[in-house]
Amino acid sequence: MAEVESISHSGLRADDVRQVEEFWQSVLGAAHMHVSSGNAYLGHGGTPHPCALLGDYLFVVFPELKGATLSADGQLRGGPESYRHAFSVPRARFEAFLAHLKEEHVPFEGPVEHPHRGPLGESVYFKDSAGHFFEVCWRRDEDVEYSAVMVGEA
Amino acid sequence: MHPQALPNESDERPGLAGHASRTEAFDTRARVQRFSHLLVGVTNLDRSEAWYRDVVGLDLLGRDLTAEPRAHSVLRMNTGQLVILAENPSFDPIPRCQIHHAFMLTPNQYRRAAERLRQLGHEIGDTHDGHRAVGEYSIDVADPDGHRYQLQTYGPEAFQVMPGEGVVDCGPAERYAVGDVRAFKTGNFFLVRHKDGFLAISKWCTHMNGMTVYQPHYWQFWCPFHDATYDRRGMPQPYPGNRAGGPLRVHPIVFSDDGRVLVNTDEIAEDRTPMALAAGVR
Repeated sequence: MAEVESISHSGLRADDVRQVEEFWQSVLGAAHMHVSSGNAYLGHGGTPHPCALLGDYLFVVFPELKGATLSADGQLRGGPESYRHAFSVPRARFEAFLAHLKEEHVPFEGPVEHPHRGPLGESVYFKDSAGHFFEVCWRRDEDVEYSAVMVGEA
Repeated sequence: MHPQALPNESDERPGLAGHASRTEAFDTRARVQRFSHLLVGVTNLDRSEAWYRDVVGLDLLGRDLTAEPRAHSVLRMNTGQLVILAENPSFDPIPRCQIHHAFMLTPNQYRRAAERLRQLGHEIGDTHDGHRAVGEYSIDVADPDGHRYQLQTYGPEAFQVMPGEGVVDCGPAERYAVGDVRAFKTGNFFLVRHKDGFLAISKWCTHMNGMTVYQPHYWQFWCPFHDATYDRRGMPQPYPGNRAGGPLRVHPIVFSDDGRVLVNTDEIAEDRTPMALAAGVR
């Protein structure tokens, strides 16, 4: 057993927060959460930032006024120079997700097949409007019963 | 400040709680099912693999198990989520900024992680120390290349009713005009004078145990920790995404023979009807 259950969230930067959120909502189906500004009140200098819930994961986006484009134009598959977030879909829905990317006119690379000895099946790679790298895959271990990712009910 | 540095013991897996409580507005629109993995660039695979395994506590599955063209390690968490370390000797550390990722631990995993970090000589720190709700814990760590992480958990005390401080004498009822909201530090409650009587509303947010404040310009109570809001009767404001975990708790009120307002902060009242002076006892 690992000593960690999950990754619960990531804090990212974007120079156009609304545009990024729209991308996540339209392409990935993220749900807008709220704009958090509590830390500013608490005297911690926090920047109001929107949150987006995507599946069982949360993104918080911090406004970056100096420009936050992370990757060169045309590069769709990245990560080793920074980081990349990957989400899974059931294998049976993978083709439908590819079709959705095409409908949304999102350039992507792949699908790429992974080695059979590993946990991943196939992946496609793309990036959002701020240049954050994303990957969507199906997993060979999708029928394995891992501990559930707990998502609290508000 | 936190009343304690470590959570109470528990092996319960916390929900995403503060940072990602699912709301009623959450739906099944997500086109992706679940988070699969985070890939990060590292300059030295051996060094980083050891750090994620031995410091963070991830299970090492093996190397080069995916189609990632660079040499890489795959590590797993108990939910099946993965961290993939891709070796990139020319990786430039990301300048210090808000970019970070957060590992979620059980309270007991968190306690062990804190001890492990101390033994390994890591400084235990939290950039938001003093700005977290009761029961909310976080340690800031950085991997050998400067990727920033939080090790987080929510102890059971985050969701327990906070202890009261006995009966608090709020003074003569006649001193309160309709519309008054007075905060009491002893017992941590607001005494609200409504047209139809008094309500003693606990300050403790029902989402987690953050302490709410009264915002007179908005006529509401607000939890600055996770932005839950409540109206002046302690009811959650009705908008999607409000993180209120339910109505703010109310304490029973009685009036002394000479008309003083007495609030019993040790008890939670079932009846939320404001207490009118003439009624004497609710």
